[in-house]
Order: sequence, then structure tokens, then C-alpha cells
Amino acid sequence: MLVLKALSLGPMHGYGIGQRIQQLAQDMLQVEEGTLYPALYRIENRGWIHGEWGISTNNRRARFYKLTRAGRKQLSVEESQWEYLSLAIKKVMQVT
Amino acid sequence: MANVKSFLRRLQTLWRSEQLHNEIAEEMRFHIDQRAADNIQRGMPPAEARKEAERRFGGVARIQEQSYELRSAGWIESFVQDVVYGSRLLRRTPGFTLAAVLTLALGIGASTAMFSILYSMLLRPLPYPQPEKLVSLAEKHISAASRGPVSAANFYDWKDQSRAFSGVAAYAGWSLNMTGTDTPERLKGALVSPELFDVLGVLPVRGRTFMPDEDQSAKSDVAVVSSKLWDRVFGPKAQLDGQSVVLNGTRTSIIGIMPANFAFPSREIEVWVPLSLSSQNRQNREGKWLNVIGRIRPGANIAQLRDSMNVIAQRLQQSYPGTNAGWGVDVVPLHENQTGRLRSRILTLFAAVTLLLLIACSNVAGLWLTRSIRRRREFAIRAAIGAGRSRIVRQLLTESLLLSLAAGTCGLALGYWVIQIVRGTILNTLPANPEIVMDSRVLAFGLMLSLSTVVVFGLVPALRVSQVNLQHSLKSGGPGVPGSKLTGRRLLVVSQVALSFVLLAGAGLLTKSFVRLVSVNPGFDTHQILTMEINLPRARYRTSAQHIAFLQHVLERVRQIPGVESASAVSDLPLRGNSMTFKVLQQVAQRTTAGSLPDAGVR
Repeated sequence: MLVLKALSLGPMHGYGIGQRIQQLAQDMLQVEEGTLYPALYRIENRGWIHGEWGISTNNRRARFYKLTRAGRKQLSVEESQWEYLSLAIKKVMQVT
Repeated sequence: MANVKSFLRRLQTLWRSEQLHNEIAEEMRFHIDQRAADNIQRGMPPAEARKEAERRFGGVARIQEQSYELRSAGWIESFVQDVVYGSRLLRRTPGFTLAAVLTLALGIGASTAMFSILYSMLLRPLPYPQPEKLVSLAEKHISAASRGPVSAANFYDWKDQSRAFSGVAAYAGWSLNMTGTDTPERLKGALVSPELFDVLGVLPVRGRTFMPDEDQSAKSDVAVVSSKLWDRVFGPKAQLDGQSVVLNGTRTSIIGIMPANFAFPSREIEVWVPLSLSSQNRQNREGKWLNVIGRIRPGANIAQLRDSMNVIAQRLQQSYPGTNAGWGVDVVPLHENQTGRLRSRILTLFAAVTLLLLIACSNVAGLWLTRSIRRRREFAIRAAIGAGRSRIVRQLLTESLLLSLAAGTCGLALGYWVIQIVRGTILNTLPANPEIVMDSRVLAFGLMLSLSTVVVFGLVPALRVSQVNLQHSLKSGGPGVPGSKLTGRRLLVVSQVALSFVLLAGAGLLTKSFVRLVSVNPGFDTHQILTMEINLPRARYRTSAQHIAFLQHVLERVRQIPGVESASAVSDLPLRGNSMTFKVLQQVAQRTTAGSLPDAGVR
């Protein structure tokens, strides 16, 4: 979901996606950066994002990912599911 | 859809696996370089910036490997590798390959051929609408074990009295001489009551079938023909209107053409003519010669039909004790009747060829196991450099698959050939003589059979061999010596011997009954005897005297042929021909009452 959210702002390469997620989360999430790539390929296999080689801002070849139509739909599904789930958890936690 | 696309994309990587490796490496290098550059910008010294970037990225080799798995065709790639490797190995040991393929091909071929016979004769429903509603009716004497044909008078009484049918019809085989065309021909035909086509629910492709009153002798000079006969005599494009032929000396108009697949009562029948009986013949209860079929009325079932027929039969017994005493009605589904006597024989043969296939499988499994054990070192090395057990099993199974598919192909060809032979010889002697073809169902069965042989002969050796004891296998210089675990192979040998015995016993019994069948003493010597059949058209040979004169003339001429010792004529040859029953008239001093006359059955 985080990857899809990051890409909803526009196409980006793997490094950029990692940066965006960290920015959006205001450095609250720290992961091994490399593990992003298997995740990206898995999402690509599902058809939610599409990767293509392009030229980065510093003139190097980089693989850019963009959200597909199916990916956009998936994002909205996951967002509403997430809202529902977090709401439910919040309610449970308020009981005590 | 997206999944299909991604699958196809991954499939393309089969031909560019190196490029894919490079791409993944490049993408990750880009990431690390970018991070290092950012670090330098933040004021880190270059060497430390690079190290920090690598640390944050994690294990590059591991991640690259994982990524490759995800983006490549995965198991398909390894499957293709296995196929290439396996076929190379099989080619390198042609003796083994040939033996295994031939053994399996024999098993698969026999099973497939037998299955297509089984399917055509027992499983395939009759080619008529609602075939389960069709029944065969026969007369059966309380003292007799088997059912027999029906007398004309009884048939007409059944037809008039039973309410459980939507239709009843009778038919009997009938040979006809066809003239009035370019070439005179002798045809196999059938006398049928006009309702027959309605009962079966089959429409002609052209023209019409019989009207209910066309069994009256004044109107019965009509015939329905098969497509084959029509095409042969008149050509497929000829107009149906007004065409006629001379059948048994009577000019007969052709009123309809049946579809090419219509084969009732059997495939050789090419012409159907109305069963037109004189009123005297209609009242004959003693000559039993008609075959009767019926279609159960909608809403009724065969049990109700049997009940109502039993009531009718009892009534007839009371009304006509002289002819009907002890005669009941036997009702069975038509499909069962057409295959009845063959059913158990076909099933036995099918069981036998299945056993044969199992034996073939266990033989090949034995060969396969030996071969796999010789390759233990290879597997041990593979395991040592990181191949999982499932990977090795998969490789062995792929090789078995190759073998069994090759065998399946040969087997189907063999089966096709067997069917051709069976069709030409044995089937021609069967009454129903159904069309036996290798259709998609049979092919699917053959394929399924080949695949299941993989499981039977490939899986056990694969599992056994893949339990590699690394140390042991690598240490022993030659091919690994199988350890103590011989249970699998013992099981194989035991089952093989057991199966062979069953098959041998079965084959022995079959042969024995066959030998008995052919060595039955018919009570006369059949050596040096030739037979032939003639049928005299009634239009030209009206009286018995004319028949006899003709036959005597023929016999005299035949006796003059050099090499002929003697010649004779008879209405039906002993032990063959149509079955019928009639009364024997005894010439005794005291006239007996009609009821106590013995019945003679002629088969």
C-alpha cells in the first residue's frame, strides 16, 4: 500500500520510492532498503505497477515505475480497508 | 488479465536470462550510487558514504537472487532446463529409452484401444433423443433362460393394449435384391413397422419416413434408404422425387433418406421397408420372429412398464392357452440389450489390459530405479551445491514425463492400429456392430493414462533416490550402492509377480473357454464344406414348387463342378442364422392337442 501511495504522486524509480516513503512517514519507518526491490517485482507481477527504463535527473539509466489503472483501483480498495481496520482497532482500544 | 500479461512477460525472460540478471544488478547499483551521492552531499567522506549506502541496502547477492526468482519464469525456466537435460540423457542411453518406451507404449496402446471399445459399446449413450426411455421387448418362456423374438399376433396385441408406451415398433432383418439400377445389388435391409422411426425419434435428412397405413400391402411399395446407398446408386445431388428401384422384384419408390450416422438395428442395414403382413400372418402366434422396441411414455418408468406388460402377457396366456401358455414378456433397456452379452467380456478384457499396463509400469519403474541409483553421485553433487530435494525430484519426474509422453504417442498409434484390426475382424461378427472411433475422449484418456504412468513408475524411484546421503554417496567412488532401504524395490518385485500371475491366470482361463468354444462338437463334420446364401425374390418365385425347381437346377449344376463331391440346400444353416421358434408337427398315430406340441428353437 505504501508503494502504491508513493507512486500515486507520479512515476518514480526504486530509490525515489524509498525516499518518498521515508519522507511521507517522516523517517518513522526504517527498513533494509534492498528489500524494496523484491516487493516491487511482486507488485509488478500482480499488474498494479509497471516498470520501464528511463533517464534519471542525474542522467543515468534507471527503472521507473508508474501506477497502472488496476493499481489505482487496488490503492483505493486498500485505503478504504485500512481505514476500516484502523477505525475498528481504535474503537477496541478505546474500550479499556 | 494483468496476471496473464505478467506471466507472458516472465515467459519472455526464458530467452534473455542473462540480460535480466544484468538489469536487476544495474537497478540496485543505481540505488546504492544514488544513496552514496546523497550521503556525500550531506557531508560524509566518499568512502564512508559508500559503505553506509551498502549497509542500508542489505545483502545484495541475496536480494538479487530473490528478485531474479520473482521476475524470471521461475519453475518454467527450470522445467525447460530439465526437459533439455533429460532428453539429452535419454538420447545418450538409447537402449534403455527404447525398452522403456516400447514397454509403456504396449501397455498404453492396449488400454487405449480397449477403452475406445468399452466407451463405444458400453458408455456412449444410444444416438437417439432420450435414449434412456427406449426399451427392448422380448418373449420369454418360464422354462427358458434366454429371451427370444416375438410373434406377430402378440406384437400387435401389445401395441393395442399397452398404455405405458408412447410408441412400440417391430423389426426384423431382411435381405433384398435390388435391380432396376445400373448394377444389381444384394442389400441388407430391415422390415420395420411404420412407427419405428418415430419410436427412435430420428428424422430423415430428406423426404419422409413411413405413414401409419403404409403397412397395408397395397401401399407398402415404399422404402427408406441409408445415405450411403443413396449416394452410391443415385449420387448425393440427385432429386428425391419419383426415384424408384426394384426390390425383390417389386418396383418401390424411395420416400426418404436417413442420416449417415443412423444405424438401426445395425450399421450394415441400407434399406428399410414396411413390415406388411397378410391378415393370416398377423394372427400367427406361433412363429416368433420379430424384434420389438418401445419408447416409455413421458412420466412413466421401466418398472411401471414391466408391470403393465406382465398384466397383458397374463391376459394373453388366458385368452390363448394353446400358444401363449408359459410365455411372459421380458423388458430391458435397449442399450443393455444391444450390448448385454458382451458387457462382462468387455469389462474382463479391460481389466486385463489395465493389469498389463500396471505390469509394464512396474517393469519400467524397476529399470528407472536402477538407472536412478547409478546416478546417485550426480544427485549428491547437485545436492551439495544447493539443489533442494524437491528440485531433484522435479528433475527426475520431468524425465519420466518425457519418457511417458513418448510412450503415449507410440501407444496411441498402436491403439489406433489395433482398433482398425478389431473393427475389420471381430466387430463384424457382433450383432449391434457399433461404430468404434478414436475421438477426443479416447485421446484424452490416452493422455491421462500416460500422465498417470509417470506417477506410478516415476514417483517412487524419484522419492527413493532423492533421499541422498551426501557423505556416503560422495565418498564411495563408483555409483552409490543402495543402502538397506530395499522395501520399495521388494514391493515392486512382489507386486509385479502378483500382477503377472493374475494376468496369466486370466489369460489361461480365457484361452481355455475359447478353445472349448471352438472345439464344441456340432454333431457334424465341418471340414471341406463351403456355404453360400441365395434369396429368391417372391415376385418371380411365388410357389414352393418354383423354389424347389430353381434350387434343384442350381444344385445339379453345382454338383457338376469338378472337385465338388456333393451339394445340398437348407433354409437355415445349422447353428447360425436368425433365431426363431415354431411348432414341430409330429406325425403320430394319435393327433395330440395343439398345446402339447413341443417347441423347436432354431438359432
